[in-house]
Amino acid sequence: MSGTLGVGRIVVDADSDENVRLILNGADIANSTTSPFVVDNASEVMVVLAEGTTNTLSDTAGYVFADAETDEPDAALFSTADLTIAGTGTLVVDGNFNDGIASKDGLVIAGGTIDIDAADDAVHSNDTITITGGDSTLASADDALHADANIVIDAGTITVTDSYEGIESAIITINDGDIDITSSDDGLMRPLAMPPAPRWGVLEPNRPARASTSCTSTEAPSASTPRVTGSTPTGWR
Amino acid sequence: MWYVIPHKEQHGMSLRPIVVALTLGVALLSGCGSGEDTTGAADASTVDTSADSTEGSTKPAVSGVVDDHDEDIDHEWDDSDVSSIWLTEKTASAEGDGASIDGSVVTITSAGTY
Repeated sequence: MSGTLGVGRIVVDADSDENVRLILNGADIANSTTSPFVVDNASEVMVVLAEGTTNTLSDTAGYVFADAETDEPDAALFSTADLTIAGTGTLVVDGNFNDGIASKDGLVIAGGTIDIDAADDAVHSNDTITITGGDSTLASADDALHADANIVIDAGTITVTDSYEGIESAIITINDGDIDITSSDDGLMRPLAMPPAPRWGVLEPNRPARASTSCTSTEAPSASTPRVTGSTPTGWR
Repeated sequence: MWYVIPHKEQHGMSLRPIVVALTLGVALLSGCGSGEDTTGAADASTVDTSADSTEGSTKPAVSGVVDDHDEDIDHEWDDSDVSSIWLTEKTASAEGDGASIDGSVVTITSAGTY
């Protein structure tokens, strides 16, 4: 897919057992009243960023919904299905209404140079976010990475230039990768009930985030336990 | 082939052993002593023991929510199977019948690579 839509929209509306792969080969899609890129129905959708190309998705704050009960889509790239971002090209997301990239199912960032500026979360999943590659630069008014259930970072470079909370999920597992977070509140955060003193759950800014700092909870490990393992995030501040 | 794989069953099978191994490793690495522990050594060791003994029952639940739908085969396709879509400012055009165009809205209705 290549070219420009000044005010347009890409919609994936396949069957629930169908997978769709969309290669962005220099595509620039903007919309002023809704999301410029929506997955309404599919099993999985992979967005491939073609080598050497820059692709842009941008919206505005002025979304218009079909009726009062509807508040979705609410992201510049919005998916109701499993979503994967891959490739070696560049994706610029300018999310002025709410989130930059949002999936109501799983979300994998496997590759690409991804630059997101979002009015709410830069990358949001109602389920899980898995990062296995790529070079992401994220600026958000709320969370840079937010998943309701689980965030796993296995590889890649993640630079959060602006956020309220950097990475927020019930479980956060950092196995590797080069991570630099600037947040006005917690760098890593789990939004569940905290033990009496912050131990497992909150790694405050200005405190190094290392595996050894997150181990003396009086709670037994559970599904709500965040874990920081492997490499130490750099530039913690 | 990618189009017909029921991925939910597939990734769940392949991922579980990795995650279990990982979380067990974390339990071993979490040697404790970050300075936050005000409960005393006896309490701490009790917590550690109970934590280890519950690994087997709690970790499968954790691994079950990890959704790694992305697989190596997903990253392979034949360029000859790609259907081009051209965006031309106010409208678009597309090869084949997997994508329909209505004004400036491109709707992809079939599995495939575009």
